[in-house]
Amino acid sequence: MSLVENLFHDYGDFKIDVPRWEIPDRGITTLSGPSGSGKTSIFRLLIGLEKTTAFTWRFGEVDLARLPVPQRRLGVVFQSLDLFPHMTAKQNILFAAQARGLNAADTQKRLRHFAEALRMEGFLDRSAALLSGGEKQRTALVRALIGRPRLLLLDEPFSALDEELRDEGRKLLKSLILEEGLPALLVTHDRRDVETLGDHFFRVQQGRVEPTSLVSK
Amino acid sequence: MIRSGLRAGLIVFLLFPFLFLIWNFPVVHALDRAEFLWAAGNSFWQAFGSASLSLLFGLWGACGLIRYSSPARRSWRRALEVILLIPNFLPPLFVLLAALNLVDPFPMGLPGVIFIHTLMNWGLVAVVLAGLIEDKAGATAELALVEGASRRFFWRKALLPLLARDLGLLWLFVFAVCFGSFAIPLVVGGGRGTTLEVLIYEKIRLSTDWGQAVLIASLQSLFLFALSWIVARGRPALRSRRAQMRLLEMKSGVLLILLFSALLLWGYLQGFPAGWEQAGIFREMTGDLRRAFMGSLGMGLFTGFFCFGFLLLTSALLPSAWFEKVLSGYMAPSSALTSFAFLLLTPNTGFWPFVKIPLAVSLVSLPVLWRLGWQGALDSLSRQREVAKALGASEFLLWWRVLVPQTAPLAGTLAGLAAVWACGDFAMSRILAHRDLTLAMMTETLISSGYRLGLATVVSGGVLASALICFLIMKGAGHVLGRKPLS
Repeated sequence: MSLVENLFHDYGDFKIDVPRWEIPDRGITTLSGPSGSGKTSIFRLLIGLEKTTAFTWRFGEVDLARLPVPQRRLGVVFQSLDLFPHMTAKQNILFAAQARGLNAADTQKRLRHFAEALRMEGFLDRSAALLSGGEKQRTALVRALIGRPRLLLLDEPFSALDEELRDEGRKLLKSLILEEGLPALLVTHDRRDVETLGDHFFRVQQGRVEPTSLVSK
Repeated sequence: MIRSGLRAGLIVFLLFPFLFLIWNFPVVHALDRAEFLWAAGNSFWQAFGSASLSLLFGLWGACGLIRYSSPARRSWRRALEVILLIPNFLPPLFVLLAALNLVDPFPMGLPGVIFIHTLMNWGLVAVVLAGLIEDKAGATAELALVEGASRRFFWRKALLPLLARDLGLLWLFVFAVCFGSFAIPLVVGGGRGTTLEVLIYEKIRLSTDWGQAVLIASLQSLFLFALSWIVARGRPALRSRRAQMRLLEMKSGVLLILLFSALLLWGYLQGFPAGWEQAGIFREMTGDLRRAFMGSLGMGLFTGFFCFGFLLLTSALLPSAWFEKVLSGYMAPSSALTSFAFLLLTPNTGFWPFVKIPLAVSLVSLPVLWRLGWQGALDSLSRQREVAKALGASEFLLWWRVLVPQTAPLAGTLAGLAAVWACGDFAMSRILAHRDLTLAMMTETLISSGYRLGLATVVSGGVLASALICFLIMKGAGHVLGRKPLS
């Protein structure tokens, strides 16, 4: 269990107000809510892309909120996937490994494993700008996982895909997370994401996070 | 800590002329009001005339460019845009020569300054306006065409009200550029067309009244800063869908572009036959010409590499809200003042001018390069910065692997432009060097000494060659550096 406390931020016309939030450290935790409810703002605050003062985030012995962004060791997949367009798929993935200072041999081994599991061999050396939606999504996912993060954070990771690819993406994500034994926080407004992937459920409404039992699994 | 220090260092460098001169010559002198108002009036009227004519011809030219907005005619559009932008991006020396060759006797004074400023700026205005019209009025022009509106009705009721604010800001932009212009008023302003920039020059060069010069430069800079603050408040238009622009197209606009360009080219080339007739003089000048050519190359390359380094350094030092604000709001100080600040700094013999001229030209060019695309390029990468940080990248890795590959080619192109301006500079160089060190200085000497325009034109061909070499080297450097991090 990781414990988020005092996650407050005032955007003027909108406030994030999360006094206490326990995020399970197993399985996939979903944070759902309608557009404009504050999901992405919470996502950015957790990663550290926006600053807030009193925020603490106990993860084991570490307060992640005190660490600079690069040292939080979070795996991140953004809504727009945001691959570096001047790199190939492989270079994108290796960038994350290099950023975390991982051993080169171990990185190559993991890359081979992911490439095989996700059928990526055919496009690893292709420029990111030329990848299809599904290929981009797989690359972004492996880029987030290669650095052995302590938690995977995903912000609407399927929204750029069409319906057929979304189903495939969900299955892929679920299997990867199970295999890696990694906790994940999935931010989404898509009910199907919540139903298919979620193990623990939270809702965000007007900047406040509350547990919810949703769900017809 | 190091990054903060570097940011502060870069800002101090940009503010150096002001800080240095105000430190040495406190602004306590009484201003000669009559003289100041006379020069300010000249600056105002020449900038007013130049901006108004540039806008008028620019709007006309824009309607010509719009004829080529369909994808099938895009390459023609590109070609016309290049033709229009050349006078603005080449050093003023070339437009000056073309105009002096073309119009004989040349109307020295304010009319001459306005004429040359208009020749230099109307093309840029046309290109910017064509884009603005397509983005802002494309869809409404199509609707008006379907509704049966006449051209005059659409212009009066829709286009001009829709673009009024943009036209005003564009006018103000050209006004600010012309108000601070130095080289053109220096050569063709004559005794009656003395502008504030030239007055600053004269105060120091002729009457060595540094206190007054600093005071005038400070007032001028305040005025230009206020203008730039207003211009910077303009927001880019949202791009509308591609539309049928028949209501706005003008064939005469295309003819205008071709006519102006042909006249400029004709005017410039006209000097060559006359120059070659005096080819005998060149034989005597071979040594000087060779040295000046090398001098031009040296100045251009030093300026280019300095600007290249400066731009890449700024990419490493962002994001920082205050640093970005200072860079965006910063207006280049008076060219004359900048040169005089460097003049006082160290000795002016030996290799010193070869260091000081590039630094001075860089200092004046950098704010232009920042606005010419560098700021936009860095802004567009802000998302990638966030991603790289979230993935755990250090500042260096982020800069080297993400920013450099994507920005170095543009930095090379922009630095190449600065190098071209350095190769063609004669006004700042004239202050910082006591003899002709570059081909541009030789060209200006030939223009000024009895108007040997033919010879000047031939020598300026060397300026063009050196500028082209420097530009290609900088562009190449940008591409090589851009590929290095991923190789």
